[in-house]
Amino acid sequence: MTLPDASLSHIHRADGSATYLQNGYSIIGGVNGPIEVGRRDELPEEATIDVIVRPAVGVGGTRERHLESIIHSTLQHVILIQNHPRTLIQVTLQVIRMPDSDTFNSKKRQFSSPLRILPSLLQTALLALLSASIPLSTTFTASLITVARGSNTVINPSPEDLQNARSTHVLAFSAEGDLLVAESQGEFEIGDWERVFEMGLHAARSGSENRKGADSDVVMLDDDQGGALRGLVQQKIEKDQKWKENIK
Amino acid sequence: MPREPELSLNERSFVLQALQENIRIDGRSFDAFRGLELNFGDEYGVADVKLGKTRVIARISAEVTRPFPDRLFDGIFTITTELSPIASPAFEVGRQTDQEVILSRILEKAIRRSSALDTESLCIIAGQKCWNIRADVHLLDYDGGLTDASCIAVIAALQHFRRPDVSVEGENVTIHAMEERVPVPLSLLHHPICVTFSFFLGGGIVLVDATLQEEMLRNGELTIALNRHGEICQIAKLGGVAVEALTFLNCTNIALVKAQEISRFISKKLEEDLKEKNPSRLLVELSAENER
Amino acid sequence: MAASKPPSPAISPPSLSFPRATFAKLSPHPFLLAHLQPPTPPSANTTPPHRPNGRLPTQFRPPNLHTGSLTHASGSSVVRLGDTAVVCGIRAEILPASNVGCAYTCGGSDDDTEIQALGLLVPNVELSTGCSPAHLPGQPPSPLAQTLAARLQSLLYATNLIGADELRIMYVSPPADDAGEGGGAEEVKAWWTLYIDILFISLDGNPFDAAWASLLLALKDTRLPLAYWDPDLACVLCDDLVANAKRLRMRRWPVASTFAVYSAQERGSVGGDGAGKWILADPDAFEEGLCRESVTVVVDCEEAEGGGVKTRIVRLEKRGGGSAGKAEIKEVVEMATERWRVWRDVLKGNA
Repeated sequence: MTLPDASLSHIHRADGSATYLQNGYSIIGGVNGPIEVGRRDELPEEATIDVIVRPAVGVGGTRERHLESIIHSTLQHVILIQNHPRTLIQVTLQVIRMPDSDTFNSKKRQFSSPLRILPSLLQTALLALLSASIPLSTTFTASLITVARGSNTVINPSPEDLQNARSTHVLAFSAEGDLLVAESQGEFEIGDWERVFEMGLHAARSGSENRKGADSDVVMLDDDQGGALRGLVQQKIEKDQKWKENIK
Repeated sequence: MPREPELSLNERSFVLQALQENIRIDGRSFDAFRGLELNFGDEYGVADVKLGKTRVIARISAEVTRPFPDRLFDGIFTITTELSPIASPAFEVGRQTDQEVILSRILEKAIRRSSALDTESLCIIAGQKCWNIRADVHLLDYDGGLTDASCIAVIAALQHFRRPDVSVEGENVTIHAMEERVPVPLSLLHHPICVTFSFFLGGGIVLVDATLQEEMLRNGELTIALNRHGEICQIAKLGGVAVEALTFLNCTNIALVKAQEISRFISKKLEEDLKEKNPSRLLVELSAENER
Repeated sequence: MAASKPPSPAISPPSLSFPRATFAKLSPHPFLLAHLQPPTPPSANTTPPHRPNGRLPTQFRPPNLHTGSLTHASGSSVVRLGDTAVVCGIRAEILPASNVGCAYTCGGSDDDTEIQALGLLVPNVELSTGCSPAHLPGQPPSPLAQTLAARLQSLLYATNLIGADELRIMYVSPPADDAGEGGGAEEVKAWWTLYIDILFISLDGNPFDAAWASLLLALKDTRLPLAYWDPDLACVLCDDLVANAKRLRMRRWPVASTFAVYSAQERGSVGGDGAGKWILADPDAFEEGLCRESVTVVVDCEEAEGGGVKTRIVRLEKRGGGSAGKAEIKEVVEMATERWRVWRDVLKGNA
């Protein structure tokens, strides 16, 4: 298992930005918003969310649209969109690096399972939103879990695990432990999925495996959660709030 | 959709007056580039260029395809530039702005049409199989100097890239994995570098590598692409203020100096990268590379 | 006022001064809630709550199928689920081996990856003009159409519906002159590529189930002409005898079921969970507009001895909210298994 690594707010022009590295993926996310929205997309009671996924090589196709729609519906639930009616919150996720060795075959790349990149994309989007200080109702943790032939489940699988997997699952849990995203493919039974669910929930709750549960206000109080990412968000918030300390 | 915010009147007159007094807002001299940073990724053919606050990542990829029916002996080389909203909210998705068209045109003329990459070397079997080399330019941060930064990124990435070796037996082509055989560098004929000049106050003041603020105030611009031997590949002066021919000549001289400096910088970085990443690979590559 | 409305849609209570349709337009969320909530106080005539479309929460729309209606397609089907109507046409084209770049040669000869690496199954989804009010004509493919195409394609590849050998066009070189030696070597000369075009004539919710069903039916209906390699002409020829054409063999029959999760709580009000949620099977456009959370399950069951079935899930997609948890997913999978039975019976009748 590889530990995730990230940096926040390192891009000057975007309102919020984050780079996230995990499992060989490197993704840069940028958030602009709330900004002016085109008239056709304007919603009278809530903010429009625009998610753009850009592949490292080539231009986006149907696969990217599919990923965008999953991320879009997740963010729609997470962002407090009623707070910014008639505006646009634009989330751009640029893939910089992929672990795929099949860079020499665009067809294969196009059809490789979209699930593998999904947790990293979700996580990048969340960090970039935090960096842009967009009000959120909750945070979430996404993880990739595979079930191998012997029914043993692996979290954050290595490329070999993925090769041998009978089914691949992406689960995202909110900070409260609600299941936000569940995308599974392969062949499995409900019992397998229940074990995957428990594993994902455990990982999301404990954060002991360096998974994050970054939550601007709550995090600093409970100390049983750890993780590099949370430290990072904490640093960012401390930096943002510095002006307050000086007033005191 | 949002547009790039316009400069206020005060800002305008402040910057222009400072220029008249021979001062640039960031303290550079008129013919100085901003600090240039160049990093290569772990993979072949990825160059991350930072020019001041402007940041561009270029990525080269290769694939075997069928050549175009009218160019049976040539491989394919394409450069794609798509401006993403990460760099600035003014860049809209799915709609090409003039800026984007001009950028891709200039890169096309400077790099592809000056045959910097020898496309004939990309042919595997004439009329049947060839390499398709693709350069994707990702703009991440935008503070002016887009053309110059993108050109540096593409040229550096092309030099850094290695494609897998192939062997041909009759009609059958075998592509050897990177571990199996030492991958091959691309055959580059020369390394063009773009240098952009901005004209202010009716062409009287010439700046090199303008920031976004300066770009918004300029009366005209000139982009010269040339290699370190002083061969000009492309000149683009797209309207704007009329400039005296002598100033123009002077610009080419400055451009040559800049192109040489940048070429040296890229070569130095490439060497460092090769040494740092894998010292043993250096030996293998040196023996495998053909002297051009 | 909403709660006092009787579940029967036909009678309009006199206290309302506007008709049912206006109520649904003006305040859709309470309208749906009023339908789903059990009557208070529990009345004697215990009719279970119905959805505005008259179905029970867990009730699917019955499928209506037709195959082979397009003359010029290799295979075609029409599927109707209520007011959602889809036409699917399949056209088979020949992909000569000489046209293939290195895509396959460097990929290895794995059966499953062959179809994928060559891209032999190409689904495309089009939402026709006027299929739904939300769809604007004269636009590039909408995100919905693209997403559907991507989901269908990845499901097609992941389920290995069709074996690669079904799509190969082989050539067995004849035995050489002396004693049959050196002959008999098999060589792939070309592949069939199936272009699968799915057109929505009318869209009233749940596009994925309808599209997937039409795709499966059209594949089942597909006949590929007998194709062979002619060594003299050095090209692939097709036999024009219909009797020689062969049907595509499908390995399995996974069934997709989509559910929407409706929560009583309207968006914007924070806190106070457990206000009630309903899982609505096979949502229509009105319900989809009110439910942000959706679950799609694709199951492929095996009939076990004693009439029972063993459920195998091939795909699970849940997004857009956090109210459906482990228990709800389990419930949904059970309903999907029921749905699989319905499809099996329909197909048996159809075959």
